Amino acid sequence: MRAHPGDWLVIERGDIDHPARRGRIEEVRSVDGSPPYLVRWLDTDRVALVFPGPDAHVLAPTELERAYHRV
Amino acid sequence: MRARDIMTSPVITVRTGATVQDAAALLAARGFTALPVVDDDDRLVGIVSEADLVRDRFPRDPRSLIHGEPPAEPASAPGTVGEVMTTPVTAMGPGTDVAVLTQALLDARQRSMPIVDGSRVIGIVTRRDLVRVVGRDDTTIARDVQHKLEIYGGPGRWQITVDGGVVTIGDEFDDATDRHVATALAEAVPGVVRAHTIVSGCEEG
Repeated sequence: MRAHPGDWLVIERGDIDHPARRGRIEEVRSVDGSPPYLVRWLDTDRVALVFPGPDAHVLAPTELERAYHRV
Repeated sequence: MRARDIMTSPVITVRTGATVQDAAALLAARGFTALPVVDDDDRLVGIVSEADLVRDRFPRDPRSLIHGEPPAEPASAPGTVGEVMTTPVTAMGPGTDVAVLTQALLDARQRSMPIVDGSRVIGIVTRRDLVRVVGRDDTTIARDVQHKLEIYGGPGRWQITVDGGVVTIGDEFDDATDRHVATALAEAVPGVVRAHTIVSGCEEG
């Protein structure tokens, strides 16, 4: 997993009751763009140092926009 | 007080491929409440808690079935830690203020916080660790405060009394800097709720 500051971290959830969770990546704590990321969660506005699991992926701002318009 | 002062270290981790059974045995044997989960490169990818491990693991006892009720389909129990772990996992650095860490645990209703140095897990702080700090007795706290202050100001200079985690530091010299440092040192000792200084006899804030 690789990310740049400003990208979005999206956590897909299995059930439809819980929509995907999104957060803005404010800081990348490695030179090669791998985790952990300092993420500001959209739903809580809290910042946390996040180690994503396999259900997470990184979207660049343009990719997120594209994904939005498709839905 | 910083996370490094109270964290459990080294920390026991499990890999995503470990079986639920093995992870549960490890939790039960060690009395832990959660294990950080790492991938093959030792990178943190999740956390597995007691709740994650016991979910869907118990078939209904056939004796508890109501007569005539068809037996429920046996739940297909997930086999590996990777399938049941909670993701994503949030972590904090060893220099994190315990006040901030505690608030984060309470806000997220988490039971434990992995402590990382870069992407490496170096410890864990659980609610149990925090409770242990709160429950330290006054005699132990007084001894630790005394020790810290002697390193700073020399032996025999300070009179320490502790009541319910509240530390009173008696000092015959009235030096503002020394008093500030003494207070800060005392408040970094696990179990101290608050510290203040007095000048030999006359009480002050």
